[in-house]
Amino acid sequence: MTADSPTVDRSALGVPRGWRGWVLLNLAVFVIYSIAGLVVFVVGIGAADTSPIYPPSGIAVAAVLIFGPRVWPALWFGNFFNGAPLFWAPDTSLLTAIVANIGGGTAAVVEALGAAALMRRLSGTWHPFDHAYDAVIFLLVASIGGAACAAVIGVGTFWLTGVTPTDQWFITFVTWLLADAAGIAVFGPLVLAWYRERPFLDRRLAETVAAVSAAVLAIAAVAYATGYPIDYLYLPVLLWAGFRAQARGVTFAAATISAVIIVATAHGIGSFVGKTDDQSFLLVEGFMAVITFTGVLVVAVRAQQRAAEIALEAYNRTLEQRVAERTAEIAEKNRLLEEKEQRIDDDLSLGRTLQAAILPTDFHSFERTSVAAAMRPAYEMGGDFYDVFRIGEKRIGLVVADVSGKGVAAAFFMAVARTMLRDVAMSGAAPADCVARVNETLCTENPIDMFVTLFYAELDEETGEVVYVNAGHCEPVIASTAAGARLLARTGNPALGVIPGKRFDARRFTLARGETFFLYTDGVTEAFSPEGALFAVERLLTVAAAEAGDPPRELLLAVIRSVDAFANGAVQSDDITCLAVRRAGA
Amino acid sequence: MELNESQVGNTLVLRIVGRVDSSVAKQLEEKVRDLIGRDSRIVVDLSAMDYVSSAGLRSFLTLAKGARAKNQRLALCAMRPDIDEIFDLGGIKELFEIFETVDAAATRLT
Repeated sequence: MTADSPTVDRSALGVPRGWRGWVLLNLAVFVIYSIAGLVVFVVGIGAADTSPIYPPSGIAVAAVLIFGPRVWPALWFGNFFNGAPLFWAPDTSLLTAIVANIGGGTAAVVEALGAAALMRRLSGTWHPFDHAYDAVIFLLVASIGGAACAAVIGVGTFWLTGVTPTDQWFITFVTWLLADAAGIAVFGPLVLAWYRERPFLDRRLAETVAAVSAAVLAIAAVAYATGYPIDYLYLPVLLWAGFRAQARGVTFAAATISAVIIVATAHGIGSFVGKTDDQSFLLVEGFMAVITFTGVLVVAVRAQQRAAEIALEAYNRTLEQRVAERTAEIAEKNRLLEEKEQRIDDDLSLGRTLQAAILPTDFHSFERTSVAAAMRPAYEMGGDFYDVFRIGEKRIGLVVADVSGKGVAAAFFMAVARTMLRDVAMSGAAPADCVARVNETLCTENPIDMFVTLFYAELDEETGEVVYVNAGHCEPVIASTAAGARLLARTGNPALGVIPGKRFDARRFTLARGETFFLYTDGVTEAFSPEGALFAVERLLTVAAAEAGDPPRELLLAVIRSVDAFANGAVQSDDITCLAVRRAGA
Repeated sequence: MELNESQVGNTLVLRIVGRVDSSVAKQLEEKVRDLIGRDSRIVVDLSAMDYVSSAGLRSFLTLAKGARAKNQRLALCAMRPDIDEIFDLGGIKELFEIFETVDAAATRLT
């Protein structure tokens, strides 16, 4: 398909239907066919008034390609009457003339149907303008094949009827073959191009037609005036017409050039005048073959290129559109993701607030004991917790715990453990029993296989007696100004949530007046320096010993400061929790 | 910490060399899970483990819980006395099958 001129599909045109339509169609084709035949008769060259080109053949092939084989009667009668001069020819009987023209009509029908069938069968299309291959099939195979059929039938009949003498049959055959082939090659595409492309005539096409006509006549006039063989000048005109107006331009130019050189040759002007008429015929036909082939092939190749360019452009557009669509999709997904992230952040931040809110921070109600506590999660929500609560009149419950894992799941596990332990302890149960009951619950209601290490102690404010259970937790520190800092060894109890039905051992010791009991999680002792070293228990003991005489709040802050100084900007990988309790001095 | 695998008889043995603390806890847990995926009986040789921190103990606890939940057998062997005490006080020992030597563990586990 050419890009510059819209083309139509055969079936889109209103082809007449019914028998009336058929008659009208055939009449129309008959008239056009006959007019073309009349032109040949008028401008014919030589003794027999024949022509080196027979345009009716091209019109016939185009008509069959466009309307189908049903136009055969128009072709048959058209050619029959084109042979009318035979009726007046001397030495020819009426019967001979009729039989010869029946042969001629039949030859025309077979030629047109044969050429159209070859074109359709071999190229799969009905015109030669879109692909170089189609052009070759039309101009070489269909035209010569069709013309050969016509020449065999026509010359055969003429010879049998005696119209063509035996010694003339070969030259008649060659003339017939070449004239018909040239007619198909030059005038077939002309009709097809005009039929195929719309609008029928626009400004650009009209300009091309006018310019081509003028140029061709000018060249012919110069050739006539000077007598120089300048027929090669037609070639640029032909190519220009093809580039400017595609198939219609090039077929018009080819037909015009053909007509002009035939007329010129008939008058003995130009490069194609031979010693005999037959030589002139061959020279003219050779030139027509060259220009038609060149012109139509150029148009077809150009159309092929355009089609490829258009396909490429369309592909690029599709590609660009796809990229744009994908980009938009990704942007939308990112937006949703950001929204989601924001919601999660909000939730976590709320969770952190709630988590911090359930940890006690006001310890003023304890008169004989000073308490300080802090929890700093490594992530939004921590798995550590501490708790301080009163049990009866004179005892204080102290808890520090570390849930395995971090984040929301750990925070939930922590909330359950913390609430249960507080409830059970406040009801007055012994520490070992409290811990055992929490363990039981955590073992049975533990869908995600977590556990918690926990240190639970009950401090008697009066006597300083501490009853404690260490369930797999790290060892607390006892700090005094007199004896320095020491660790309270583990007792062999496992973490909670691991062994169902486990009994826990409680131990006891006495916290002297002025001594500080420091509970923590291993986020303290296993904080890292940028070099990868551990803070370790030894450093903790050093800080605790140095701060033993200060209020628990000072000791606690000193520990955290020391850990931060040690970490020196390294990312905190675990929650850090501290709880310091000091008995009032003597 | 270094982790060395070897085969003793039909048993896969993982030897822990050096210190186990929070910096290597993840690595240890992943390694043991990977080995257990290949063979449901693993012996952990602790003869060259010279320190285990609180976080290290938590790792062993995590591994023990995981193995129990999936019916896999995870045995510890050749613990040094100080490590043995830490495991004991940390309440870890009762979660594992414990053997004196690698060979004993390998023999008994099969």
